[in-house]
Amino acid sequence: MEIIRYLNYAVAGLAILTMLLCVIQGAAFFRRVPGGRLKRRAGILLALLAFFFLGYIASPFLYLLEHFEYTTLVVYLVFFFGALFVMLALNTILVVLKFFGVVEKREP
Amino acid sequence: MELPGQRVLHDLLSLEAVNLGRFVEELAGHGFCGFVRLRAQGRALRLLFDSGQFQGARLDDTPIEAGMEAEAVRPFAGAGATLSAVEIPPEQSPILAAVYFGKEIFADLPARMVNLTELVKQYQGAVQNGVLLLANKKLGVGVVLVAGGKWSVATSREEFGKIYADGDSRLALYSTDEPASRAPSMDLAAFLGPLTPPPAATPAAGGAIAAVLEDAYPGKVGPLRDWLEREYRGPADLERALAHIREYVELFLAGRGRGRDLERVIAAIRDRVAPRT
Repeated sequence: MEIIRYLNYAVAGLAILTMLLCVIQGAAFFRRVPGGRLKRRAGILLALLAFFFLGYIASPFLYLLEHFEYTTLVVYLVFFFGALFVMLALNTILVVLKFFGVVEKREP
Repeated sequence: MELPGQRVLHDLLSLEAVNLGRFVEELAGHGFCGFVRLRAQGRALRLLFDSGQFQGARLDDTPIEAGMEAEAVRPFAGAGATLSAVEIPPEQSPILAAVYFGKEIFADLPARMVNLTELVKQYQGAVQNGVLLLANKKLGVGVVLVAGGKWSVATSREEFGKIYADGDSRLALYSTDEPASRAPSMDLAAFLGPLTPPPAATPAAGGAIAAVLEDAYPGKVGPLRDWLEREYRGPADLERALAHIREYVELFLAGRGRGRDLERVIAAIRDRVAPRT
């Protein structure tokens, strides 16, 4: 069981590091978009990434402090906003692909 | 629907590379029997010919009212449309005309559910002219022609029986007793005359617009300049270019509440390209 505990922390540490990289990349992406709807969406995606980062940091600490209910809440909040993130990211890709004519626009 | 003996003469030619008026004239000169199909953005317009005479047009499943054919063709010009010409044997021409412009009595009826003899009896009085089609994706089309109330199998009886016996065959009946209000054999080439391919894009044509955009959004309109050089065909193409510019700016450039800036840019482009007098 001790091994599993250490493995949990190792995976959590790896996830925090990966998410930190995502936040840095998200910030660079946000800075590079000049404006418009795409900039606003990049801003929302960046805010979600920051939330995930905080959630990733908080969950192992809450677990360590044995606040299991809060750990579960944080995990499910990350799940929920993660789903929103994916939806928004896919929609943004579709909007850009439609503009460049890679995907056909639907007739009104 | 693929008719027996049909032959593709030209397939997926770019409409922009074809002078449609001359193309149609050329086909008519050779007594063309069949249809010319234009396709763009998921829509298909078919122009039907019989012995070189224009019979009418059909957009997707809807016959085009006589005299409105030019309007129906126009959206295909400059929309990246493709053109195909399919020739059919002259004896098949009434079939195509009935399907395209006749009244649909029924269609897509699974043949296995139908007693053909009873069906013919039922409609013998009601349909004096038309066609009964028995379509099968693998085996082709069996045809019964109805002329003056007389029903006769146009394909061979063996072939018709074979298609009828297949479980996937579908029946459709079209009547031409009340032809739609058409004025057949109009001079198609004459009304397609103005539909010569749009002028080619020239890099210089979009230069004035690109300059206005560069003033408004310095260093941020590279992709728009490329698009204008590639696509813009002069003042007649201005509205399409403005729609593209508007979409680009709203998506990639305009900040919140900057709508008025965009309108000012659009007005400046209009003034530069087509100055108000």
